[in-house]
Amino acid sequence: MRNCLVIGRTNVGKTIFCINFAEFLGLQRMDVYFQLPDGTTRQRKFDLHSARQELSGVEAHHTRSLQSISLELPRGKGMRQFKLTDSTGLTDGIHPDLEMREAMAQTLQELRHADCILHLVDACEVMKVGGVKNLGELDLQIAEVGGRKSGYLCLANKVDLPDGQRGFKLLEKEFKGLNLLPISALYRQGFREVKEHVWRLV
Amino acid sequence: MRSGNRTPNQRENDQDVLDQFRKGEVALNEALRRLHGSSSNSTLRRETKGQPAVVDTQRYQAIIKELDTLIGLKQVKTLVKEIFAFIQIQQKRSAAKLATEPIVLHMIFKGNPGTGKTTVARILARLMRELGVLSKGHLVEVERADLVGEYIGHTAQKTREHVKKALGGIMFIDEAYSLARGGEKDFGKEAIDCLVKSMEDHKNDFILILAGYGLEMEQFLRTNPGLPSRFPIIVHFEDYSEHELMQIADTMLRHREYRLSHEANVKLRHFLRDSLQATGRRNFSNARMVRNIIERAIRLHAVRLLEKERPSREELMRIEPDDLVMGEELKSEELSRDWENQRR
Repeated sequence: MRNCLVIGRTNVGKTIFCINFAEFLGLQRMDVYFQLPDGTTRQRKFDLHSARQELSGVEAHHTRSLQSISLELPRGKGMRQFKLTDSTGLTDGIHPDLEMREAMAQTLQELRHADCILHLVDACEVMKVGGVKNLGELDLQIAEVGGRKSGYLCLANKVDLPDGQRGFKLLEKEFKGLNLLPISALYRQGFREVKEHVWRLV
Repeated sequence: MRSGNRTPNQRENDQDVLDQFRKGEVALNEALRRLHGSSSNSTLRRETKGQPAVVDTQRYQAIIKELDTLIGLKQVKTLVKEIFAFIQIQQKRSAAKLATEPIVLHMIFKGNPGTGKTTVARILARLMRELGVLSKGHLVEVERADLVGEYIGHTAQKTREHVKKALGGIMFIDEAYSLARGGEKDFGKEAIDCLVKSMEDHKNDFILILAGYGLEMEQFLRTNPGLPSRFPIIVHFEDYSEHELMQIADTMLRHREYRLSHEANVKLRHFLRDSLQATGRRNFSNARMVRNIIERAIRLHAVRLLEKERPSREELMRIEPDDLVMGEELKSEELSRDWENQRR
């Protein structure tokens, strides 16, 4: 089963993207596997409404472990399964909280094994500070690591906001030669393109 | 795919980085850089990996320092320097595309009890690892009972098993002469023969160190004509002089944050001189005896101070002559003390 990792800074909309993308692919109920930092796995069932309420939030670091959803895509006559993994948001520098560091280490580990990386960037934030570079090294590093894998896609999220479109333009200049898509995770814009990209890999 | 063709070495390295990140020692960016090697020096690092392990000078220095704190043992220290120099030059030679032959480093340690044979072997194991001579650098300590089997053929099997365990490290056989002591029909000879064979077969993979008392070791080497020539390095562990033994006592005490009062110092020195000069010196075991005396002194010191209401810092450190119980005195002193306590 192919593994798709959703990665990015905190509060760029990774979790809401996962949930909405799962719904977009026709999922009614979600079986979410929580891979906790101590190595155990837990499974919980959500319907989409409660998933949205419980899993995502406005404060930083709402997601504290890897959360995987198994999804299906039609291919030929059958269905192909793949795993969409939501991860803990990354921050520059050393995080003071041990629990968060452990969760981030998990993300880093997963980054190595993932077949497909969906890298979310907050286009609105990029516009505010005037370029990805000013946000810190992190996004550039992820882009570089991802650029070596075939299944890398950079998603400029929050393009529905006023600054979003211009932020996307800025991103386009900086990430030349990389796969870049403008999306809005909240309003499901650009999901068709993402689906096509994932479909090609799976 | 990148993750597929990583060597185990790299994977271990990755685990290290993740652990460090978890403990908060490295920033996330640094961790990412090291995990995925995006900067230019990563290619450099990969180049050096093909060559024999480069000496990590800092760790090497720490071990050398430990060796230097041992008192006496001049021959061992020069030997270590020789090996170190040899390995450095070997690496330079291989860089210049010259032939590099691995040297045989099997050793014999001869010396009386308590002259530091086992201690030195343990330090050597770690040192060899840092120098890149040994891949693992562990020490396997075996004795006669581990090697000699119960029936014909069993011995070779057991010995080979232990050699296998020691590959990549040091095999240390204490009291090795006992292998040759049992007479004609003893299985010890079989163990020796098997060892001789595996010493040749795996001469690049492990180091065999035989240790034992001087006289007995010489007899042992005579049992197999090929034996002495197979051990190019023979280290004599000299008996310690009175002065060196006092130094050892001093460092042991300083390490534990105690010190001898002047009278105690004199008493210990006299005792050491007497036992060094005594004919026979049957039960004299050099540094080990000093350690035993000191450990006993610390216990007696504690008993003495327990009765005191408020011992000063000075008293907590100072060892008086009464605390030093040595040699023949040991038993009688113990009895009288007990008796005193009971009467109270």
